[in-house]
Amino acid sequence: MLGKAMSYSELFLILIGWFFLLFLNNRSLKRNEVSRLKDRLVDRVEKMQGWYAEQMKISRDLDGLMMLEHQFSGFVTQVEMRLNQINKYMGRNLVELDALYRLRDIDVFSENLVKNIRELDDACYKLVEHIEISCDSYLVNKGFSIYKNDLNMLTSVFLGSAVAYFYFSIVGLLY
Amino acid sequence: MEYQVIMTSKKIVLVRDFSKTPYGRDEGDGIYSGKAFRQKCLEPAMRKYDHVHVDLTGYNRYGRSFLDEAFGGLIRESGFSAREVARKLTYSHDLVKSIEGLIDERIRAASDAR
Repeated sequence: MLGKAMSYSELFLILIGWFFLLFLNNRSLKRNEVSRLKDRLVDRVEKMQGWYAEQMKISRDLDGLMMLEHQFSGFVTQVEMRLNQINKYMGRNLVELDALYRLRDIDVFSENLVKNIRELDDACYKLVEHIEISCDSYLVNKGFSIYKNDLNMLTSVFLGSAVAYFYFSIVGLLY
Repeated sequence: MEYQVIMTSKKIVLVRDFSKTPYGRDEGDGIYSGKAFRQKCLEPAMRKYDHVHVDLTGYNRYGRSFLDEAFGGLIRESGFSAREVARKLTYSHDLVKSIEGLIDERIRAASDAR
């Protein structure tokens, strides 16, 4: 049915080639997305750092500090959700949430303003460093490391090729 | 003769059983403060049941002071020991796991300060 011009093994090789291209494309898209999410996250943490220091100088009354704690908690939650997104894209928990605990444990009501801002700076720097190091280990591959998502993709490529090969073999036998 | 130990347990869903917007440390900060949660929900349940689980899912912006007063306050104010709290109390948040970490930290700090 396929004619003499193309044998089944040639067709199989073409399919493998197409699936491999699909795999590379998917991998590249994922890496770009991780990189984009990482940049946005780091930007967010750095903005929060500046905003918090500014607010701490302004809001010294109880109501103001209460509001600041509420907003700060919301910020940390947003950061955590974005970290979760990155972890999902990477297919493994590269960015550990432990780095966030210190940030969430910042006491807005601390009497010592300088110490408080220093603690926040310290927690933010540590978090940003952790994100950068973790994402770099994913983005700058040492050799051809295969992560969970890549492994799933490769398995699909080979299974897809096998299914296509058997389909055409059966069709070839029938007609 | 065999004895059978019957454990009673209670699950508190914070946003359903207390408030959808818990906020602040004590009554000065509002009626849905950490102190109010501890006194109205958590402490009575801890005294009545063998095991209490607090489900924090449904609200993502718990303040440090709310969690400190609600959970750390069990040791500081309500007279529970750290061992009792560790044995009887569990808590979870499905989306924001760092909240669980903060509660661990607040209970540890209250226990150390005692």
